[in-house]
Formats: sequence, structure tokens, C-alpha cells
Amino acid sequence: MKRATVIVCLLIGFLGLSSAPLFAQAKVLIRGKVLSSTDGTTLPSAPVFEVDKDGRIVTTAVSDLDGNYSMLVTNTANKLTCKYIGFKPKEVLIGGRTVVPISLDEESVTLREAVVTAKKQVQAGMMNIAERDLTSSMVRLDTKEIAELSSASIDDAIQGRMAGVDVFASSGDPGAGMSIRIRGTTSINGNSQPLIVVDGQIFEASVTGFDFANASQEEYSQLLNIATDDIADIAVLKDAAATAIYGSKAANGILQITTKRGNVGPPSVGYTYKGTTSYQPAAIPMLSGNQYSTLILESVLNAGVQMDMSANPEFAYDTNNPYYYYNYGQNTNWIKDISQLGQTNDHSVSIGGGTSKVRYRFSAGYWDQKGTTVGPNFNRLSTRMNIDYDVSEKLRFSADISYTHSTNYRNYFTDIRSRAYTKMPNQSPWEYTDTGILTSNYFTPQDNQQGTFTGSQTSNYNPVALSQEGNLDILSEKIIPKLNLTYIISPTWRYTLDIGFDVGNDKTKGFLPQTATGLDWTSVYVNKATETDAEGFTMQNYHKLFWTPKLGDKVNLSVLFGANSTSTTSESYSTSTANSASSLLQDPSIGGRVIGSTEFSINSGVSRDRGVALFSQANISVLDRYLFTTTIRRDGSSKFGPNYRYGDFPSFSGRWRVSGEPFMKSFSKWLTDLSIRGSWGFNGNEPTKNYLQYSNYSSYNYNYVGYIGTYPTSLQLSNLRWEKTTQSNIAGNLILFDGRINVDYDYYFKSSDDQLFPNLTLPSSSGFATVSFMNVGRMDNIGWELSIQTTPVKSKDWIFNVNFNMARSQNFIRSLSKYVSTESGSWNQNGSYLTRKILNQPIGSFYGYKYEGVYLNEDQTIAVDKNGNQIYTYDANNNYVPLYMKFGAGTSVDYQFQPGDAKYKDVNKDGNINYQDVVYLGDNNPMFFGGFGTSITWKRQWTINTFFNFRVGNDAVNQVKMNMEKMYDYNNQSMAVLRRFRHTYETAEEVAAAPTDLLPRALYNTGFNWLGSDRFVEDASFLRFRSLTVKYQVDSRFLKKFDVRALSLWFTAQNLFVWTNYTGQDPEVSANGYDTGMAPRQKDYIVGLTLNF
Amino acid sequence: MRNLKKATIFAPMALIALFSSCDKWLTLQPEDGVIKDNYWTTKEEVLASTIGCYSSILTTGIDMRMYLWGELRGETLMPNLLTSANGQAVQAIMDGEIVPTNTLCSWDQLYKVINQCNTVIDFGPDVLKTDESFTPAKLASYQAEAVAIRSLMYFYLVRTFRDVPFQTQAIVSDDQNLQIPKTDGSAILDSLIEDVEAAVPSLPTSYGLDPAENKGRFTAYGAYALLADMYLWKEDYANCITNCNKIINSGKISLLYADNSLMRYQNIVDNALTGEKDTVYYAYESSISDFFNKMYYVGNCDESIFELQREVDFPNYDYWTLFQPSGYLYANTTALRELYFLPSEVDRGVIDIRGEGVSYKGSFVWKPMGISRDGAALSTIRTRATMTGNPIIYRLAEIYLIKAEALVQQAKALQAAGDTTGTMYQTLNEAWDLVKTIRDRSNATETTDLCSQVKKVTDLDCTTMDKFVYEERIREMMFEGKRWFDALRYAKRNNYGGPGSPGLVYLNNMAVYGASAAKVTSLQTKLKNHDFHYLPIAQDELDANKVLVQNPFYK
Repeated sequence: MKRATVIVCLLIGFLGLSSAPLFAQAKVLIRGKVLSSTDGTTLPSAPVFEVDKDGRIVTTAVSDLDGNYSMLVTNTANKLTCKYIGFKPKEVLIGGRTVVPISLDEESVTLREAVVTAKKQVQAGMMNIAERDLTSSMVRLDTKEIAELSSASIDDAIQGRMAGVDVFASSGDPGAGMSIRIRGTTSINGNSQPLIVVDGQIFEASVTGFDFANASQEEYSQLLNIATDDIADIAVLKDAAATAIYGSKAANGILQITTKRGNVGPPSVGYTYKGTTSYQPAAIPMLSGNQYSTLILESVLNAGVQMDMSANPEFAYDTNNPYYYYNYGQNTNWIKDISQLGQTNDHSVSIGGGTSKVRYRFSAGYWDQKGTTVGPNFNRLSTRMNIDYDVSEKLRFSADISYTHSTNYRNYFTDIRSRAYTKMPNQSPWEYTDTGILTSNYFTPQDNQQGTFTGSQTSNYNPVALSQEGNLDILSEKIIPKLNLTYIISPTWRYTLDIGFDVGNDKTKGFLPQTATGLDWTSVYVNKATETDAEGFTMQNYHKLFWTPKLGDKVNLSVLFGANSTSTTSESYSTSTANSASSLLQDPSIGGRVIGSTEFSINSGVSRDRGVALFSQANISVLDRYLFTTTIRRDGSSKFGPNYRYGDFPSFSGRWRVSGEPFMKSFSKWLTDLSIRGSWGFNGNEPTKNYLQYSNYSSYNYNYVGYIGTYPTSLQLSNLRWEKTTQSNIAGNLILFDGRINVDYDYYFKSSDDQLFPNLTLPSSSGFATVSFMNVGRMDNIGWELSIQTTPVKSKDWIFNVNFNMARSQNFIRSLSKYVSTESGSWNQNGSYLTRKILNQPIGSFYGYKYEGVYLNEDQTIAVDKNGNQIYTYDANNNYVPLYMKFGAGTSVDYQFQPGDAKYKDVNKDGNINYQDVVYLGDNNPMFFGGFGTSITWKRQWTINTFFNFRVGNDAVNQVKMNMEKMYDYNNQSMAVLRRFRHTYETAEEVAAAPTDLLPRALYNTGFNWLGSDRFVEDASFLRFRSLTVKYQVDSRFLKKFDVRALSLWFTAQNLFVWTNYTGQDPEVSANGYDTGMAPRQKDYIVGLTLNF
Repeated sequence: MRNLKKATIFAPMALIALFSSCDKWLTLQPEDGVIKDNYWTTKEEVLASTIGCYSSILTTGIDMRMYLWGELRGETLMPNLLTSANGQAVQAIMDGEIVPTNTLCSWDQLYKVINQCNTVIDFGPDVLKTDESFTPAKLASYQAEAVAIRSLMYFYLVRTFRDVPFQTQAIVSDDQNLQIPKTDGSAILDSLIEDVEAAVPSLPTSYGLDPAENKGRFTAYGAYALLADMYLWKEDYANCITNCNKIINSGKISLLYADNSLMRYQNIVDNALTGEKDTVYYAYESSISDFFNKMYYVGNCDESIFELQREVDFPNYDYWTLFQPSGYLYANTTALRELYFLPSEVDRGVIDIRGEGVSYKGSFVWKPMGISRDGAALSTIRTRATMTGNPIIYRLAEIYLIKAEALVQQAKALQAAGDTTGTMYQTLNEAWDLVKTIRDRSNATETTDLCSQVKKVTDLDCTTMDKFVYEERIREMMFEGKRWFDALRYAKRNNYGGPGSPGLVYLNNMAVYGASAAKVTSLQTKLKNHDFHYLPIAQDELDANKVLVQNPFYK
């Protein structure tokens, strides 16, 4: 924080200095009168400036009540200028005079709305290029489209709106983050998140260098905290030509955010309010306490174990043991007990304006969110100030500073909802006395059948107690100051300097109360308090030299030379103690136990990384029809050893505007633009961790026979190098009827070589179980993107827009390191699907068994041959006996199927279910994904926006269903298990009458009833009604009476409906295709208003 | 355009100039650790690295793995069927339903220790150049310690998996070959024996006055014990006995008696051998408790040779997970009472002190879990934070029994060679004396005395003595992580056969009590395949190391 203050001081100091006179000179006193040229009246309080030949203000004065002014001018060769409201600005030469009257001409016309017809310039990488002249692949999103949505983080809002940009919700749990994929999954196992660039500066999404930095995507979204109201423009740079200027960091594409700046004009004040009410859709119906107890006893008995009721009084329902009878005789709905109605308030205020010299915009926002689970709360205060100051015609600078303060109050464990689902429903959340009186104490036994709390979030605790008493709060501060200086050397040469800082502080405070775990007071988890302080400091600077020679009308050339360096330091400090005297004493500094366990610790760490780069870009346009861009960047990074420290990243791209050719002239009436683009480029990606090129030694934090031991912590990665991505792109742009129809089509081929694979398992004979990163192989992505934007109706009263985008992306593994496991999962373990990495095949396919229902009786468990006849054989005693179906016969797992067991398809008809019966079940890669939306505006007052997003053709493993129906442990199960097999179906009539949706029998801790099979693989295609907005813009003539410029009111509903055949909670599952989300996305209803003065 | 040309010429030159000066700026070293290039400069670092090998055994829970590999496939333990998750892996092993994904088949952590030992051996000599106070003798001692630890790790691997990758070079960089194939188990064993024999002269017999250090680090005695054990596995009985004698005759390590000499009482019984009344001493109850306290609760007793030091700083959470009241392993009391701790038929008022209250208490595995021999189990069981019991790797009683076993095998060899006279009986008698010493200390009951009918030396026979030593080992070393290795050693002897060898008999008997009732037959069938006596290589390992081949039974 200290560092931030210093930076702010420095910035302010710089501002102060720049306005001080640069050199002293003999000064001359001049005076005069400011008059109106029309009637000669004197003008009081009129500002008078002495301006030098570059337009820089040197001295100022203000006229008095009689219009007189006097000032000491530094140079009589300078000019005097004066501006006065209602008059035209005037410039007067001093020219040796000491009395200089200034007469101003009255302005005859009143200010009118100006219509700007210039071509839209967009920031493309590091240069501004007219959008129609882009040679690379880039897609923009107008923030107006997402202004009425409610989301703390912009990634949620852009979902489905840009072709080729896929956004996944990693889970529907409140506060869970999103993962962004530009052009599909490009990594075998590594990071596919894009680089984020805010106002030309790389945004550090997390405090890097520590393990917790890549802990979860949740943190990621938590830190992508830019108020949506401050964003002017979001662009996604997709192909390598667009991203090459960011070289080694840009292989996953770039999400480029530009914030709003002040405009010339009187101060304009805006206020926006959004109020959101969120609720969780209906929960999965779960068993009641009684149903659950029946199930457990049945499953244990089926497993051949007689449960001893005296040792397990939890299931005895014994009135002679009243304490257990009351505390374990309930029908608790744990989910209901931890759910609530969510509420969000979002306020933002901004003020902006400026003169031709100075433009400013200041904004402040406050976001306050209460989640739909008891406990989590998120609030954020954000401010941003952007100032542009034109010192002179040669020198300009801008200073931006943004500050965000946020507090994310979370539950100690984030998957508390999952625990609530599986918690024994016959257990009471609050303790009963043995006379049946309900107390206000949480009922948290140290252990019962569901186990003892062992520190992990999957072990046994009381979710209600944890949601009420436990916490894991993250307090973040983030300051991003940025300074930009532009010096115009000559009409053809321009130099800019950008210096940016990114200071982030995260303080995480956690407390795990004894009341939630029920452990005895000496346990290391009792009243465990943790505190972590992490500080990240990044400094970036860019030197850029632009050269735009005048080469006549037919050729436009602009060249950029640049150099850049970045330096990041992360520091952290953490403490963890336990056993404070009371659950009210929650800070580790209060004094708890600090030694005696590895659970307690005092840790600190420092991590640094640095990068340098030289880059150059040239754009050339000939006859406005042939456009060509080339970029080269050389990068150096401290993350690699001497052999692989530097990398070169070139790219080329071009555009042929076919519609500009003379022979196309006859179509120009309706054909506004038709272009063909092509690009080729080369990017890199670097590991997220530092110091991997060294073998590092650490020491243990306890002694052995009085000495502290040391050990090598990491393998020295001498061969670690950049991940290299080559990308080719061919595209077409078609604009018809003056922009009424816009069609963009991109086809790309992307190849990522030397893929960085994190936490790769090594042969342990090396002495190292895993390695942080290793380059492991090549993966190709082929795909296309289509985006259509149309305005079918545009009349005085009606505007109707329809936008549509969709994309397809396919990946193929082309080569793999010998260290990478090509098959994961196991054919003989419940719940496990085989996944394979096969050369020239996509990753993401599931393999498993075909589920064929349940064996209804013993007869059905006899194996059949390929003709459908039962197989009989002679046993050792020469008896003619049937051959029963087995699982894994001949291996160490040798299980004979019993009536009531799950039946799997015996593909090879050998009477034995094993890996030979494993077949392809599905693939989690979508065939297409995208979105579409409509917008109808009537009389510029009423607007209705709808937006849909979709994904087609992907399969998902419904792991929630698996966990809720497996009947294998003491976890509570869904109501579906009431359809379980409970008796054999002997006669033909019984078999015929058996329910078709019968589930296998309950079987505690044994059997193979939930092997990875198609029973849990489902088509997860969906179409989601993402949002509906109705907006009313109040008539401005009416508003004039109240001095209000604009007022609009709106109502938005988010996540209204999903069309899908998927039976799980939400078909929008995480990128790996395993649906573990217990909570579907919440539905939000938003009321909002925007007010402008 | 000419400017542009100039730029294209100068830009690369500027590039080169700029980047060469960047090298220094881009060289960053970690600030919260030491990199290898800056390590290995002082003798203290060599010591710290040597100690780190022991620490890693504890940190990574290797002691639990060593324990379970040695004990689990026997019959002394039973799984708690009503606990989930972890219990499944254990139960699967006990039932013989062993799959490569079973978490207990993972060997990864042992190699971490092996690599640490290798770094001490490989990089220790560098320190001689930089630290003048470091002597070659001191270096040799540290290296010998590392050799001993490494050999211990490999010895466990060879007994559990038979053929394993044999890495004796320090791995520091990804430049090295990280994928090495399996080496034949017997070749590894030979190599280990050679290494330890070479290292023993450099090892001290004592590290000073602190018993924790003397028992917690490898001394020469620890290395002799390891050698004796390895020679026994290799069926080289002469060398085995030589090494046993080095410990027994050292005078530095003595059996811990339960009496402190005063606390004994007499009992007059028939001495069958001589036909006269003799005086036999039995320990008092109170001194048995003292015995338990010294040997298992406090640890590092006089009898101990090598044990891993678990302290309050770093308690044995893994054992806690296994054996706590709601843990997933119990003592198989049925087997223990029916097979090994039979009550005395004649009421002589004594019980085998190694049974109830020492090895087990109720159904708890008591050696690692007990605070005291007396008192109710639940009030004298350790808590998670006080799991400070040291896993004992070698103690003198085992050396007695190793020697006895080797002697019996030598006698068998003599018998097979046709010598049924003096030398054979003398050898058997020597073994019998050793067994008796161990039994007498523990008040062993006559019901478990297989030689109770022996009147004279010539009544001894090899087969009975063979079984007697075997069973005595179970009683003495129960729950100390030796059970399965003992049974396997007896089974595999002379290529699973030969005269007087039990072959698969012991293993089959064990299956009856070890596996759950429904699995006994299938387990016995699997045991017929000798490859099944070794665990499969973990699936992760096969995935990461493409030159590894799965062990034969599990292909």
C-alpha cells in the first residue's frame, strides 16, 4: 500500500511540475480590456491566456468587473487568446504592444448536436486503425448491448455475444467464476485463459508467483473487477496477427477493454442504479430422514454386513436412547436451511466533460451483493479518474487512476451446498436435549457414520453452523495508475511513453469454528484462524515511436517501433493458528496454538519476474484496396533458463477490399464493403510460475533428532521453453446496404506446439512426483466463426436489429511427450470414465460401459452367448451348471453379478464384463456454440432486447446424478433412489411389470453399480434465454422542466429459461465435461434506472 | 522509403545490443529458497541434506506405506467395514482384489527419499573443495548413512514389488533420462548388499549421548541389522549370522527385560529337558507395563537398533488415520487369540505379555496407539496430537530371531546334505536357545511352545523348529510391519519348495483369517500364482514411465 501512495505522490508531483515555467526570461507587463465587438460592452471575468507558438499556455490572467486585465508576458512574440461563453474564441498577436485590447465576436449560432462522419477508429493492439481497414481478426462488442445486465464481472455479460468466444460458468454456485475460451480449448491441460489488456496495459488478474494464484477461476473473476459502467468498448483479438504485438503472452487471444474518457463539453453527470433480486431454482428433491435411514440399513445389509444398532444409534430410532432419538430422528432439509433470497444493489455515478485543453471523467461505483447461499456477500467500491491534458500542440499527456476496494465475504468452504445435499437428513442442525427440547446450540457430533472432520471440505461438518459462523473473507485493494505522454516531434514522427503500475493487495481471513466441526478442543482444526496477505506490484512501461510519412494520396504507411519492459513482484505472508479460547476470537493474532502441527504455520514468500520486448509494426494501405500489416516482436523473459530465454514472434496479415476495385463499381449501390482477409502469425505462452529453471532447496519446518533437514523441492527445468502457437486465418467481410447487413466469416487453423502442461506426473523414480510445467506436445485447432448483424427495419418510429453469431472449433492432438499419460480413468472403478489422448483425435471423449438396466432375478445373471442362449458348463464335480455373469473375471477383481445389480452390455458375449466391453460414449466438445439476440426500438423511447445463447452437440457426464443415485456410502441421495431394486422379479408377469426406470439395489461400499456408463452421459446441448430487457426512455422535452437531460428506466430478467434434454441441474458444465454443479445458475430480476444531468 | 530501409538495417543491430545487456536483468533467482548452484558449499549443508532424508520419510508418510506393505496382506489386521473411502483400498488388498489404481500400490514417495540420498552421495564430495573444515572421513560417514537409508528404501521396494527401477544417480534436471526400466529384484538386492557392506566401516557406532539420535540415525548396528535382514531374504545364511553376531556381541545393545531384575517372581515348574525341578522367573504386572512404556510409548529403549523419530513437532497422523477409534484398521482378535496368543492350559497364572495390552487392546492395534498397558482402552489411547510413537524398524529381539531362522535353514541344509548328527543338532539347539531367550522374557505360555515335548537335543527337528521360529516372529513382531514379508520369505524359500519348506502353506493359512469369508477361496487360488505375491505398479507410474512394464499378474 505504501508503494501505491508513493506512486500517487509522484504522479501528482509530475502534474504540478509540468505547469511550472520551464525557463525564466525578461517579462513584459501588458494590460488591456476585453470587449464585445458588437456593442463594446466590457466582459468581466474573462480568462486571457498567453500562448506560445506550439499552443502551450504560458501565463494566464482574468479580467476584472470592468473587463480590465493585466499580465506579465514572458515573450512578446507569443499570442494572447481569450474564450468567453457566447463569443467566438479569439487570438491576438502581442507584437511589442503593452496595451492589447481584445474584442470578441458574438457567436451567432447556438450549439447543436454535431454529426461526426469520420471512420470509426479502433485500438487494434497498439495502433489505432480504422475498423474497415483491419487486416486481422478482431471482434468488438458495444457495451450498450450489455448495459442493462447485472454482473459484477464483464465476462459473465459477454457470454455468447461474440463469435468464437466461449464463456463457461464453472459452476452455478454464487460467486463462482467463468472461464473464457477464445477459439476453443487450445491446450492439452494448461491454461487457456486469454490475456486481458485494459487501456493498453496488461491487467494482472491475480497476484502471480504463488500457488494460490492459480488456485481457482473464482479468484480470477473476483479480480476482473471493472465496473461495467466504466467500459466503453470490449474487443476480442483472435488471430495471431492481431495479438502478435503482445508476443509471448498472447497465444490464447486477447480480451481488450477500453474505459470511457471525458469529452469536450459542459460537465455531464450520470447516475445508474441496478437492483437485482436473485433466487435459486428448485433444488434436487432429496430423501427425507426416514427414507434415508431405510436406504442406509438396506444398503449395509445388501453388502452383507449386519449393522450393530448399539454401535450405530444414529439409525436405531430408539426411544430408550432419547438423545439419539431426537437428534437423529429428524427430517432436515439442509438445502433449505442454507438458502436465501439473493439481493444486489449496484450504484454508479460519473461526471465527465472538458475543454479543448483538458478533458476529464470521474466515476465511482458501489456494488453490494448478497448471495443465494447463507454467508456469501460481495461488496465493492470502485473509482476511476481519467484525465487528458493537451499541454501544447506538441505535448499531450493523460493520467488515469483507478482504485477498487472489495470485500468478498465467503463461507469457509465454497462447496457448502454440495455438503448440504449429501448430509444425513435424519440429523438435526440444532441440538436436542435428551428430553426432546430444541436448544440453540448447533448439533455437530465429533463423528458419526459420515466420518470425522479431517480438514478437507469433503469431510463431515455441519453446513448450517459453517454458513452462519465460519468465514473466509477476501479483502482486496487494487490501484492502477497509468501515465501517458505523447510528444509530436514532427508531422511524421510521434513518440509516446506509457508508464503503468498495478498494485494489488489481497488479504484473506478465514475462520473455521468449532461449532461446525464438533471436534474436541485439542484438535488442530478447532477455531482455526488463518490470515494471508499477498501483495502484487507490477510496473510496465512502453516506449513507442510512430512514423507516418506522407506518401501521397494513394499510399498510407504507418510504422511503429517500440520497446517495453515489465516487472512483477509478489510477496505474501500468512499465518495459521488454532485453538483460540472461543469461537468469537477469530483473528490469528489473538493467540491460539501456533506450533505442534503442520496445520499451523507462519509462511512468507517472494517471487519476481521480468520481461523485456522490442517490437515493430507496419501498416500499409495502397489505393484503399490493398492493405498489409506486419509485426515482429522479440521477447525476453526471466522465467526461462539461458538456453530458451528469448523468442521471436512475427506475423503478417493482409486485406483486399474487392468492393473497392473499379470492376465492382456497378455494385456499389448496395455493396458497401466486400473484403477478403488473410493472416499468419506466431505467438507464445509462458508458464505462470517463476524460477522453474532452477533446482531449488527448501528446509523442513520441524526437526529430526535435533537437526533441520533440507530437501530439493524441484527439478531443474533446463529445457523449459515458450509454448508456440502458429495461427493462420482466412476471412471475409461483407457489408451491404450501408451497414444494414454485416457478415463476418473467419476460418482458422491454429497449432500449438511445445504445449505447457502443468503439474505433469513424472516417473517417480526420478525422485520428483510432479513437475510444475513441461513442454509436452502439439495440438491443432481448426474452426470457423460466423457473425451476422442486421437491421431489417429502420424507420422513424421503428428500429429492429437482429444479431447472430456461431462458431465451431475442433481440436486434434498431433504429438505427445512420452511423459503424458494417454489414458486416464479406470475400467474397474466405480464412477470412473476412461478418457484417452489419441494422436490425431480430439481430446474430451468419454469411454465406458453401456448400461442396460438391472438384473431382475438370478436367471438373468446367467451369461448368454451371441445367439441369446444361456451358457451352461460342467463344474469340477461334473455337474451341469450355469455360467453366471461376472465383472473382471480372471483379474484381481472378480465379482459375480447378483440380482439387483446394474447390468452392463456384454459387447463381446464372453460372460465377463471387463475393459473389452468399454465403448465410446460421448464427447464434450460442442459442435457449435454461439448466441443470437434481437433489439426492437419504438419511437426512440421503448426498447425490448432479448438475448439467447446456445451450445449444440456436446455430451456431459452427469456426475451429480451419479453421486445422488449411487447408494454406495452414507451420503444422502435424491428421491430417484426410491425407484431402486428392492426385491427380485421372479415370474414372467413380474418381470414384465417391472418398472422400466428401476435403479440398481443399494449396496454399501461394494459392487459395481455405478461404473462409468452411458447411464450418466447425456447430451448437454442447450438453448438458454439469457436475458430479456424492457427499457423506457423518458421524453427529453418533458425532462427539460426538471433540468434533466436523460432518464431511462428498465427491467431485465436473466437466465429465464433453458431448453435442453439434459436432466441435470444445468447443462452449462465446465470445460472438462464433468457436471459437478449442485446449483443451477440463479435467476435474476433487475430493475434499473439511468439519470443524466 | 529510404528511411524505412535504414530502419530495417539498424533495428536488428539495436536489438542485439539491447538484449545482450538484458541478460543480467532477466536473471532472477528465488529469494525464499536456495538453488542448487549455491548449495553444497558447507559441511552443515551436507548434514542438513542427510537429515532431510529421514525427515522426508516422515513427511511423505513412507512409514505408513512400509508398515502396510509389511502387515496388511497378513492376517493380523481387519478392516473396519463401516468406514468409507480409505477402508476400501485396505479391504481390497486384504481380499486380494488388488488393482493398479489402489492408492496403496503407489511407491512414489520412496523414490523421493532415494533421490535425496543420491544427492548426498553425488554432491557431498563437492563440499570438500569449498569447506576446508570438512573431512573425507566425515563425508564418508554421511555418504554411508545415505547409502543405508537408500538401501532400506530399495529393500522395501524389492520385497513389495520385486522388480523396480533402480536409480543410483542423483536426478537434478530434465536433461537427464527420467524414464528408466525395471531392474531384476535379485540383482538389486545383490547391489544393495554390496553397497551397505562397503558403507558399514564408515558408519559410527554412536552419535553421542542422545538416544534419539543413536536410534534415529543409521549407526553401524543399524546397517548390520539391515544386512542381516537382506542376507536372510537372499538366503545367504552364513553372512546373515555373521552380521547378527556383530550386533549381539557388541555389548552396546541389549534385550529390554520386563523386570529391572528386582521385579521378578519365581515359579517352580518341570523342566522337561533335564527332568529336574527348575526355577523360572516371570515378570510382575507392573514391570510389564514399564516394559511397554519404554519400548513402545517412550521409544529408543536399549533394545532398539533403528527407529524413526516421531515427535510432537511432527506426529504420526497416518497411523492415526489407520488405527484411531473410528479408523479403518482393527486388530483381528479372532486370529490372534486362536493362533498366537493361546492361554496357558495349566493355570500357572501367567500370560504371554506380548498379547493383550501390548500388541493389541480390545480390537485396537496397541503398539502404535497405546499410552499405557493398563487402564481402559479408550482412556489410554493416543490422540491425534500425541501420535509420537516411533515406528521401530529393527530391534535386537528381531536380530535374535533372524539369527535363529538362519540357523534353522543351515540345519536344514545340513540335513539335506545327509548330516543328521552333531553339527545339525548343535545348530538347531543354538536356534532353540535364541527362541527361548525371547520367549522367556515374555512369559510365553507352554501352549505355544512347539518344542515342549523335546527332552534332549536330538529330539529337535528342522521342520518343527522352522515353524517355531516363524510363529515366534509373529508373536514378537506383531504390528511392527513385518508379517507379510516373513510369510513371503518362508513361502518363496528354495524357489517355493524344497524339503521341509512350507511352500504356500503359511500363505494359504493366512488367507483364511485375512480375507473376508467370501473371498478366501479366490484369494487362495490367486496365491498359487507366485507373481501375485508382489503388488502391481501403480497406474500413474505406468502412464508417466512408458518403459515400465506392469508386473506379470496384473497385466
